Amino acid sequence: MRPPTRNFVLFASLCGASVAAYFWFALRMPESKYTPPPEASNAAGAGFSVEVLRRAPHLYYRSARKDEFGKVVIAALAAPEEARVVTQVSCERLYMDRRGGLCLAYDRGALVPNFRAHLLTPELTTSSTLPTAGFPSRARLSRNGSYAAITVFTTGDSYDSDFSTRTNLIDRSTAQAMPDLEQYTVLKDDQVFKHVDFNFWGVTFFDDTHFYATLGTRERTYLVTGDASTRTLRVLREDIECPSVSPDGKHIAFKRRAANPAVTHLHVLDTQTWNEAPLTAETRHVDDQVEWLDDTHVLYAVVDPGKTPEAALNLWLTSITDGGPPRLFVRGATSPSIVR
Amino acid sequence: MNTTIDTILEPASLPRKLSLTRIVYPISLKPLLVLLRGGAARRHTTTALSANVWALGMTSLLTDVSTEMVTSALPLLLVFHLHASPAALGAVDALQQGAVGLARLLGGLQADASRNYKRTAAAGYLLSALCRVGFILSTLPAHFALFLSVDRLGKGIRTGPRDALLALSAPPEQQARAFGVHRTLDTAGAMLGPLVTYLVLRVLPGNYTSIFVLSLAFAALGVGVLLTYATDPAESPAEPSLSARGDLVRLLSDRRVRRLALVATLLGVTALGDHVLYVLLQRRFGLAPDMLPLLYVATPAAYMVLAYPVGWLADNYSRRQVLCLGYCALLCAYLVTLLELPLWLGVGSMVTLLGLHYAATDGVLMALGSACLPRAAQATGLAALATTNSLGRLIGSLAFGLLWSRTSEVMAVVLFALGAAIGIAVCFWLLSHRFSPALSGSCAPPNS
Repeated sequence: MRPPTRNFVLFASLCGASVAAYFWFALRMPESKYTPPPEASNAAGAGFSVEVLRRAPHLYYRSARKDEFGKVVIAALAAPEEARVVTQVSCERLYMDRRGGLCLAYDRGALVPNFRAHLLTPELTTSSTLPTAGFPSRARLSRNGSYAAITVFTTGDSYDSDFSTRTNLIDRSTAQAMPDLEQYTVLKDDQVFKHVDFNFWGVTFFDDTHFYATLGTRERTYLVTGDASTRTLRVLREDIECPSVSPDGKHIAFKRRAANPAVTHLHVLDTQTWNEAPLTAETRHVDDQVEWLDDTHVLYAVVDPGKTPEAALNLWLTSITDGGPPRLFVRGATSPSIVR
Repeated sequence: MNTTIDTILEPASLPRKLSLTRIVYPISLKPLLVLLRGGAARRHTTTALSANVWALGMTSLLTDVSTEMVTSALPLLLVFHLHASPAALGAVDALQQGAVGLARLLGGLQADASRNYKRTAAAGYLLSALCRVGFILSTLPAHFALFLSVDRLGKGIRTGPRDALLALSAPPEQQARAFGVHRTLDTAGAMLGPLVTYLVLRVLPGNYTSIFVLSLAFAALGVGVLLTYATDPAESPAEPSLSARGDLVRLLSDRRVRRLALVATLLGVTALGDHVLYVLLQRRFGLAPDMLPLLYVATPAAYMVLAYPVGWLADNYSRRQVLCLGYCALLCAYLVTLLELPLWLGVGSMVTLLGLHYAATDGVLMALGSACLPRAAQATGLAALATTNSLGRLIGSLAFGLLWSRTSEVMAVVLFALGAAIGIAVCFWLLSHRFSPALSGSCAPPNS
């Protein structure tokens, strides 16, 4: 061997040996700073069963805790930290009602990113599966459960991309995806409003076929109201993102960009008077589409960026009326849905 | 150094007459015939490619395995485990594009000034390799964004010197072939990377650190191959080195270089990104969303297969025509989106045309450019060509976006294709020596 080749072979062997050594240790110590262990345990739910929990008001959420990362948890509203059962279903986003629900999932083991929307039965088994176009963002159900609404990011995973979302309704009875919201007719001041850069996200239903959502175009956001049966959308107001309508339909909680455009704060809109007010009790950056615990309390995830995933993600509860500070509702949880 | 541009652009000594049919049909069937006959030009391909070409190819293969391992794993890690928003990832990418262009020029300039292409390229590869260490230590999205940016800077720095080294390692009549070999290996690496990531995540689910460790090893091996097996070309004392800013100004004010940069920009403007074409394909053919990732694999595969044969064709027939043919292939890809085709045929032809486009343009433009640049300014010149070409692509995409928003989807494609056809014709005309006396002269720098 010529000396340069000998040096290279030595160097390559050194690289190979180091990698082999690393993997030898890594395989023996499966814990890494990002690793959720593959097996979830039911230990936390000892003494409770899904059937018992489902009889009283309960909530579903996606766990971010270390030994159950990504698993769907069902918990009693009265004692969400104690009375809980960890299921074996994994979702990135989920939304449930009494008839079952919607689970946006991602197959981590697949060679190419593999995004799916599963329609779930009340027993959390999959009744049908539809492909989706990208990273899950939002999941909601209509009031009587006829439709499911999903929002996904379509280009966030590519090199030369900007923000782009796709929002579809799914007819739950036939398990068919309907045309995405970009195919709907949009009216603004009774004129047809159309632009190629339309993005829709954050659907929230106020009855079984009518909903609110966000329309984003040319750096602006609008609150729109839509009708699933006629496939029309109407622009209501400007500068409203990720609406969520209260159970009684009287309030819409939403996000609005602060002076620092990387930060969004929660606001509440009264649907009778159309008055808006910031939710001053919550001063942190909230990126979630909120869920309503009841007609006066909002529930949402806050990310603490400086912490590890299991410590960073928590559900917080704030009253829209009494001005009291936010209260930690469930630790290590996202994507809540309340079933009353 | 007395080689004229004629013999470089037209190595197979074709009829010099530019007939009207040539202008109307810039792309004749001749390349295909030459390829089929094969023998007619075999004498050009007897010499084996230099060891340098293979060394640079292997370096790129290893480095691309490393890079693509990281880029296929990072979005998953950032979005699913660290809760960054995908929109933020997009913004970081856009920011980096500009920085890469600048780094590319600086890398080229440094290589030309020091006449040390290998060392400058190695510095770029090493910088990217060191970022893997950064990834291993990172815990927050901001850390990853920072190291990803530095990684792209390294990529920018090495591009110019590497392409110059490739060009100087092959005799003029084999340059497109050399670039073809390099791009084949490069793309092979880019396709292997995600596969390695997949295998690692299968063995160690969720253990992203192990991906970065393996990625570091591949990157280090790449640097090792470069340092061990690549050599700088022999000095030719007749050529003074490009040392000062004045020389760069002189280079950029050279009419031939300016014209070439103009052609690179204009050709870039006629090109739509794969991403836009895939979106069009999806909307026009109702392609299922989960088929999309397949396209991101199939197109590089087509490119990988075609890069060498098309490079060979460019060497033995005409780089100018092959280059324009490559952009015409893209033009055909736009038209595919307008046709009523069965899904498989639409997707198949799109992938083939895109692969052909990259095979006939990326390396061929560099080979063509290298022949026109003074030896002392190879790295800077090639870096400038790459930068102006990608600048053109950016302008083209913006123009298409504007057309799309002002008219309908179909109208935008029709108008853009029409504009692209005119653009390609103009470039063909600019490159043809008949109409461009400046390009037909010697390629030595004006004052030396």
